Amino acid sequence: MTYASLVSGSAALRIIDNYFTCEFTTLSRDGSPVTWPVSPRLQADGRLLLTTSIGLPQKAFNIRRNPKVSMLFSEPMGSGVSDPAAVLIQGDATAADRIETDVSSDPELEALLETLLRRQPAGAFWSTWLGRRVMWPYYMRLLIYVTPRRAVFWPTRDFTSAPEELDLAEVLRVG
Amino acid sequence: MWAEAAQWLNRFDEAVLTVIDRDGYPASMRVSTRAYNAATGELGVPLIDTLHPVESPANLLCHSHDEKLWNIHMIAVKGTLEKRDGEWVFCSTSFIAPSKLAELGFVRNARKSAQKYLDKRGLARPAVNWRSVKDIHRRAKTRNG
Repeated sequence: MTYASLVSGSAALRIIDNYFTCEFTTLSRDGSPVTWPVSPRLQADGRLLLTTSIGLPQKAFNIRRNPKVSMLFSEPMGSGVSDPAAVLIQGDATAADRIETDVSSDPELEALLETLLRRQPAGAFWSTWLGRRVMWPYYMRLLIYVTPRRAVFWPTRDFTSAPEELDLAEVLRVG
Repeated sequence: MWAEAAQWLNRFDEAVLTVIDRDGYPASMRVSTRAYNAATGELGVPLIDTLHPVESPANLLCHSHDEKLWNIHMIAVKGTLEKRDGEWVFCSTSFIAPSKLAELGFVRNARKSAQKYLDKRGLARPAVNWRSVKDIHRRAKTRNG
């Protein structure tokens, strides 16, 4: 089964694939959750890839200390999804120490950036002459991979109802 | 004391509540903040048992963006999750309202953090492959039509 056919055949995967952002949480040194909106991309092996600039390294620091993270896909704005739902993924993350500055060196990173630029055309500013000077660390990225351990699904985005437990095999065998 | 947090929360339809579950993983869900108490900073939250929440540090995040993933706005309230008489309550512990100069501060802090990241590792500022960034940008533009 191809990535495209599986994603189109699963309502939950369609949410993960189409929502522009998810709310990504890492745990700080004192155990407090820290949550940021991020733009991840589901990989062919079922992991999720996101990146962070070395100018915003706290996510990576937190993950290196405690890999437990969560990702809530709950914001349908701009996604074109007509029947909004929500997916919560809890998993274990790794944050590479290597600073990635060549997006073409990794096809997964390339696909992530292309997806992001399609969704956020104004993001092109960061590679303009001015953008490079104002925010020079923007394209110096740390790669974060999340391996899902549990996933639940709210088919109608009604958070007062119990979510459905998702079969992780469905998420982990995308490719 | 929490009036300013309440004012900011009211600008959003809902918030993402994040708590910790019994296995130590964070867990998030959306909640309404209409009942946020501006005097006490408390908010009763209908947490689902399926998420196995425990009393723990917690936070509320509100964010929004437009259809082009731009005009991004975000606020966060730190707190704790407590169980009282069988009901879950989010209790605020800190809130910093975004300033008018937040974007400027964001860029300044990011540059400072990036330089610190490099300095700590004894690294020079690495060169970015701008050609590949531009190629991907062109491709994205073409596919968007």
